[in-house]
Amino acid sequence: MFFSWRFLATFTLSSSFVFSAASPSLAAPSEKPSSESLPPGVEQILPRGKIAAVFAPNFVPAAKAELSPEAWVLGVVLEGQAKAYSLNLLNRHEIVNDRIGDNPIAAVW
Amino acid sequence: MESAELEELSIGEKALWKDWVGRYPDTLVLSIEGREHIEDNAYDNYFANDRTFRDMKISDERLPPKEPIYAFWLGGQAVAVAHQDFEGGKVLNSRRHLKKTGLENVDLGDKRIVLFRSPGAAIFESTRAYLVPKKQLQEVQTISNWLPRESGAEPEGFEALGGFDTFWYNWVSVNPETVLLD
Repeated sequence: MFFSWRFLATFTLSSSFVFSAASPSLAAPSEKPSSESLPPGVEQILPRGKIAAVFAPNFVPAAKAELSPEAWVLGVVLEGQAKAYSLNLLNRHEIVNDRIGDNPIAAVW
Repeated sequence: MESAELEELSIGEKALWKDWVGRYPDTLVLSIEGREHIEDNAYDNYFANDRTFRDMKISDERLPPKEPIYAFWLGGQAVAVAHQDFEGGKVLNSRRHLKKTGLENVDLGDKRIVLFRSPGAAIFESTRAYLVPKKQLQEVQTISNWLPRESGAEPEGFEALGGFDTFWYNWVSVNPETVLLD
């Protein structure tokens, strides 16, 4: 499940926002599973954490943001709050663990 | 978050910065190490050629592997539609159509599926997909440019479908029972 979800999120056109009502924790994982724990038929391409997800994102207001007009962004609006994430920045991190209001969200690309 | 159930939300979209900030001038922007954007796109080639990731092979040849699609779930069934099949907008508006494509068990009630992509849309442009009450279908098809988004607001009564855009090989490799709509 982890493999397929990550695969779809990373190497397709997909982008999405997911959130968990069950756990509000956004802490980075502290334990890294060894490749020996992978199920049969699953190949590890990169070690976990090689593409580092963002766990404490910073934001600036639009007036101070430097983006070209033609830059693609992943945008979200929740509870009246809009946020934008540059796709090219997301290429390097793939997942931004974030919050909008009380909602923990993951911006995935 | 380990083992937590995640719910996909229909609250996001991909857009050009100029369009996004035009609609949401108060938007916040992700900033990493003092930068809100970089020009370098590590996946330029991937989106521009026909090669699959790590030359992955699929046996399902209903579409070319890198055909862009909109994929979603309908009554527990994986469904896909090629982008090129609904450029300019499409309504999947008949029970007979769904039955013909193997979705006879899906009951949409008084709603119909509406899909929209701009003619000649860039590959990153987000598909807009809704369940629309039948009585509002006429409204959908008479709106200039179908579903204008300048205001950012969704049309009243429209329910967003929780799907996403991807390539055929990605979707069908993990959802081999996918129903392909045309």
